[in-house]
Amino acid sequence: MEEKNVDAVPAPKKKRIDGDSEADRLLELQLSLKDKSKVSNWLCSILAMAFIFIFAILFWVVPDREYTSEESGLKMFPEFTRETFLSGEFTSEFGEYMADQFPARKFFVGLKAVSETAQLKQVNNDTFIIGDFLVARNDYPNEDFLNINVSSAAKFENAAEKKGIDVVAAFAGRKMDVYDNKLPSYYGSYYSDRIWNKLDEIAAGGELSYLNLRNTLREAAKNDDGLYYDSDHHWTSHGAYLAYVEIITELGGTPYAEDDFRIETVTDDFYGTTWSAAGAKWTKGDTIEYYRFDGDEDYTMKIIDKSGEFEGLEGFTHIEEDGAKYAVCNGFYVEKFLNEKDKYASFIGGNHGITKITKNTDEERETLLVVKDSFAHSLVPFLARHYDLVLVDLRYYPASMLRYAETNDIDKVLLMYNMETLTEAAYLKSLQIGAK
Amino acid sequence: MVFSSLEFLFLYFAASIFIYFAVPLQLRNFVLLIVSLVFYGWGEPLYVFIMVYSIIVDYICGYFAGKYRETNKKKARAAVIASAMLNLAVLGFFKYYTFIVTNLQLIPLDFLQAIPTFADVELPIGISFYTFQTMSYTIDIYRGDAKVQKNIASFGAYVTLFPQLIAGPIVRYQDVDDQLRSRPHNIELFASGIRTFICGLSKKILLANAAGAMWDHFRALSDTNATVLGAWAGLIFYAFQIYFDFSGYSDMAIGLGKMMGFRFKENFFYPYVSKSITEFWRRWHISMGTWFREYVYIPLGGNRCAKWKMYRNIIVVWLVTGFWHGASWNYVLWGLYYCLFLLIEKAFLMKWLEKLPSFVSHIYSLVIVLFGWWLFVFEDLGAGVTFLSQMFGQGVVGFTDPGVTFDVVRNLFFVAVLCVASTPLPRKIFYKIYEKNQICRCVLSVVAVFMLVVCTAYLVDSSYNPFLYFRF
Repeated sequence: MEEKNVDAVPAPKKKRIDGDSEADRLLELQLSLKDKSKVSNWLCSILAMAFIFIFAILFWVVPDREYTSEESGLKMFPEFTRETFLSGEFTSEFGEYMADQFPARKFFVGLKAVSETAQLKQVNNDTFIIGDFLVARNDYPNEDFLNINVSSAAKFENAAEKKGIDVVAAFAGRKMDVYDNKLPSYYGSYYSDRIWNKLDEIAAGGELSYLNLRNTLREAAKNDDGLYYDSDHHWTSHGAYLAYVEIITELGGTPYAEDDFRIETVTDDFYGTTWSAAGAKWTKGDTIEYYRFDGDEDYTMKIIDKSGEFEGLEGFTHIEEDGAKYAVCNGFYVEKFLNEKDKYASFIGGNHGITKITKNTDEERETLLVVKDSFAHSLVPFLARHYDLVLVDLRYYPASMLRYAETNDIDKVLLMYNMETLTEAAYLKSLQIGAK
Repeated sequence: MVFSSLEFLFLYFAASIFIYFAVPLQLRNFVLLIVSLVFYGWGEPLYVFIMVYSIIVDYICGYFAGKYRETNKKKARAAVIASAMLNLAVLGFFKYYTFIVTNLQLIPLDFLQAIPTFADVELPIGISFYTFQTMSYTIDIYRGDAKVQKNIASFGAYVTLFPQLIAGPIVRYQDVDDQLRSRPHNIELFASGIRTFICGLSKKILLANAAGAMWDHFRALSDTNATVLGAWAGLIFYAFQIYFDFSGYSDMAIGLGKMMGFRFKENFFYPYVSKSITEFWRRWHISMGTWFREYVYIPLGGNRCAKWKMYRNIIVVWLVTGFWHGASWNYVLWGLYYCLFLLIEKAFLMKWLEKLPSFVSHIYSLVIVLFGWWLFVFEDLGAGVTFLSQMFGQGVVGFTDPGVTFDVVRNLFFVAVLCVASTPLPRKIFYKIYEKNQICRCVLSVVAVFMLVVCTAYLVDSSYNPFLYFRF
């Protein structure tokens, strides 16, 4: 730059380097081609304005999508009052409403994922996109929640063992814990190891010995791609089977061989939670397999149903038990969910406060209380061959499990959680109730 | 409301542009005034009154400044002073009052402690921009650079003009005086405006927001798991964020202006290719630099006075420039930091820089600017010092960790895009293709609209859309 007269601020009236002259040059060029550029100018204007006007109109014309399990928490039209408007609350909520209810939302979500992938970013919305394989990324899960949850589990176990109730705590890995071999090499298992070491530390401090299913499945994952769904955070029935072998051995039973089950493919277009987050619409759907065995229809499943979710559904009746309303059906599968987005919910009908599964027989069977997150759902077909089951989700039924075990003839307890749930919120805190 | 939002594009803009072109020419300024007030009131319903106040004050002051300009200099000057006082009073109260009082209260005197701070009074969006614009009107009238605008709707349209209302460029009244009276509406300007707008929108959404997300990520890590690489990468991402955020916003404003027949001046001219700090400030936020030069530096005597006075003027301008960016000490330091380098360059460094190979002076400028952003981004000086020491290996868990390495590696292509986008190369390529033939021009038009669709996708699936110059 041949600068002679240097000022603190741009010197006036000297056109050396100047955005205006550049911009003018560009605009002059555009204007000088006036006649020659008519077509392109009209094309540009019409396309852009058409896009804006069409979507502006569609936004008001297309009815809002209601809250569904498939897209939880969609914003509806915000409340308009003098107060909400003047405080700015209305306008800021309106923005979120518009994003959630925008026409062709799914198309745009997918387009963004395409754009991010094209920029080689490998991650969209905190999800690794590795071909069809989608993995949620979380470098620093919440250790405080982990601490509360695992210490609560430890206190519960110690108190229960004193009362003669056997407790097995089984903790499963997230996909990034198990399939670190699929992640970029310089990312690897560093953050997984970190949080699992932390878990070990907390467990040791609370004298809790737990079953480390992350290690089991991680070992198997070295040459087995089918342990977790590609598009969802859960393990597959096959992955659950490997976990079952460990769990049932720990509970003192003998596992059935995998050959003892008849594997039935029930769907091959399951698109799960990770897929929704990643927005990677081009990836292929997952297959869901049921591990069937002879007589697996001869079970009665009772799902607590306060809201009447299962009312009027084929194959369901309703009964009153312990002062609560239960939906009752045969077997462990609620196949209507195979026609919905959340197909994993076809295992025992999804998350509910209490789910009881009993075999229709006169023989004496032990009852296993499973305090769990949804990873336990695909264990049910395996565990039910050994025990009558009571599954409790503490998120919806935060009562004292010690009391429950004592008053309901529970023989053994399985705590079944995956790392994501353990670090998401203090869900297990209620395990401490009565467990001094 | 900000331009990079769905409610702007598909609600406000769609409606405003429709009404604007539906009404006859003589009503368009009035329409502009009304839709601009709606634009402003959307986010800050009550603060619309400050805007109306600003319009009325300068409409009256400008009127008297014009009336007595020739006949009674004293009265005309009084009008200018009244305008400056009334505007700066509003700016002072909303932007600087709390800062000044809380700093005064550091002095342990009882009567100072009793002053209320009004810490929860929110800063009206864009107040730093529109108070400056309105002041420039009265001053321009007084100086004879512009004619009195008798039509209050037209004057109101100038003050509230929604394209540049909340983040500039700061349009001086003399630059749009004629355009307010009559301006061309044609398809060439309209299409050019659309292209400029989409270019700005893409800068903001595809570049600034993505870079900003990385900066926020590394900034958060620096509190718990600081690494050297993370701190450097973070600050570099911030440098990209602030440039593309702000220049993208200016482009959108210029584009919207063109669609409605206005010609605003360029606000950024590839500042990151500068080879000196002097040059950087000629390319960065040009309209603000111009404003301070025209209305502060030159009235103080500029450089046509004694040498010591000129240095004083430069220091004053940069103190004010820093302080204008925010009521916090770091902005003052930021202004003085640049002042220092400008003075050094003026004294001797510039001569050396010209002799050095250009990549050396280029690196020199970028390093100075990068550390300038460090001063700029940390309002809490303590946190800033901690971050700086992390950049040099103090208080870190290591040089890098796997997540930082991964995030840096996976963003390399994106950083390359950011670098290229900071140079005039894309514009040159655009020229080349545009000049070629009609088919090329049509392809460019389709590409532009495609970018609009992509930006919409990011707005629909976004949790992250900050706006940096919102509060200045």
